[in-house]
Amino acid sequence: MYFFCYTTLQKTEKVSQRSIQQKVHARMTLNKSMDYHKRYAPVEEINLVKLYEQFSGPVHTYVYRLLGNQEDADDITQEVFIRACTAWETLHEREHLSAWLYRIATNLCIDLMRRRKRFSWWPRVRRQWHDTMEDEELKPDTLRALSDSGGIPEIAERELIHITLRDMPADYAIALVLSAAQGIPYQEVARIIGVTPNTAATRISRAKKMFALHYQRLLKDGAGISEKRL
Amino acid sequence: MNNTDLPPLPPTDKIHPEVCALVKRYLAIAADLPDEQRHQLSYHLQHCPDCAREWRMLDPVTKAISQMARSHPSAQVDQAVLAAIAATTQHTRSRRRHRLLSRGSLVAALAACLSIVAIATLLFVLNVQQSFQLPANLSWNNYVLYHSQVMTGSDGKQYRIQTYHNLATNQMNVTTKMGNQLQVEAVSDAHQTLGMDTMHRVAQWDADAWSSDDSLFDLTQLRADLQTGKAVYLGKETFQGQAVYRIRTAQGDILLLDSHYMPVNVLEVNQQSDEPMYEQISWLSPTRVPSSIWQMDIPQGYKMGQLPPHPKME
Repeated sequence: MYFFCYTTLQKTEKVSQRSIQQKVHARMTLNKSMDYHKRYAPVEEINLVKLYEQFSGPVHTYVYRLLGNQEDADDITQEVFIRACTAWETLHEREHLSAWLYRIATNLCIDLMRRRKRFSWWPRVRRQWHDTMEDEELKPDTLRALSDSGGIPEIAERELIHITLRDMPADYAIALVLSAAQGIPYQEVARIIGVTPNTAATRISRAKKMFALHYQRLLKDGAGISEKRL
Repeated sequence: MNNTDLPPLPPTDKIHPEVCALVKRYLAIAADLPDEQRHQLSYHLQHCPDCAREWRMLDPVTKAISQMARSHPSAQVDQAVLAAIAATTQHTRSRRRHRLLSRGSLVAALAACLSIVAIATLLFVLNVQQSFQLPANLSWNNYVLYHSQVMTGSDGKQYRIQTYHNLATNQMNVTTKMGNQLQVEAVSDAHQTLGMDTMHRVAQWDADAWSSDDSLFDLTQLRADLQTGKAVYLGKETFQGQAVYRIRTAQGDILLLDSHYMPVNVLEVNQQSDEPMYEQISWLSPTRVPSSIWQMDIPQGYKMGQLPPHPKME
């Protein structure tokens, strides 16, 4: 038992280090030595281009992972950076640019989900989860195959992951994708979603359990996946 | 890492519901924790089957989600946002000049963005590349740069400027022609410029106004500007059927380089569209250019006098 647990945590550490190297999330503050207001052009334009070059990939990936759709990710990414352009001149707090962009993207995602009437059935799902989460047992093998796949998940798995995220309550799916997929530390997740770090950690923890249980549930029900490897 | 807002991790050698509840919260964010805390958690997992079961549930979720595919914005999004950036900053500059701040003008800027997007998307397919470097052994000085431009004078009439520029010797031959009304040839070296009105056979020294500003083709300066961030690589695209690298220069124009890093044109950014500045740009072998075009002797039959006013100044 000792060996298993210790090895597992070490393994996670390696994964974590790898994910840091390959991280989608990037922290960035632009060169503060530039006097933004005196030298507005072309410095600001250059800064905005740099901002786009550095963050367009992470923001697009985040939205794509959350919504599972390239077109939505394109639309929202474009909107995020056009809003960033219009707000840039009056943005004095440039210490947390990534959190700022992720916050705009998150709000746009929530707005899109709301417009698609997903909120109409989210409360039901949430209640269902809350009612059953404590009682439902996770079968040990359900998710093991996921972690053992080693590389990029198979198509059926990827689809199931997207469906699971889509079905989750938005605030939990957002916390989970920001933390586990984008590799953003929970303190910054807290800043993005506007809660305390403690609440963010709790939400991430709960989101992971929700994901595991709902994934298992979908797998059991078929969930429209033609081929089940797990 | 500051995690003071999370309740402190209790001694993890105890197995108690309160301890375990907190340990489970920490396990969910284990990747963000310092090594010391991770070791504490690891120790707890060795002795607590309940928390170990929780870990076996959370860990695969973290891994599975971290392996989700990455994605990139489409070329249209790249183009739209870069155009919006150019339009917004230009608009803001103009707004600052006029000290006018209104919501209406913001709408106008956004409308300008959209029109730029429509035109630019048709012209260009942008493929932004994060890494770009001019080759260390690249030189433009082994060539004579030829370019021609069609300009509009202050009276609205069009005229053409054809320039030969030997970048190695910094000699230049510039012919400015406006129909049958005007033709001036200016020959210059590093020190002086001789202007010749070939219609009226009049020559004038210090005819700098008839020379060309080729500062965009200064490779040393471009390297320095790219290094200091004054010039920015914007990505790859196709221009007139040719793959080009786009660089926003310190002057604000967009320099297009071919796959051999030779300039093929310059896009002048304005509110309407990105227009090519040059009708043609060619890089000629110096042997193909007759040396007579660099001669600064006053030709026979010419008298010294005053050149006509330059069309741009008329």
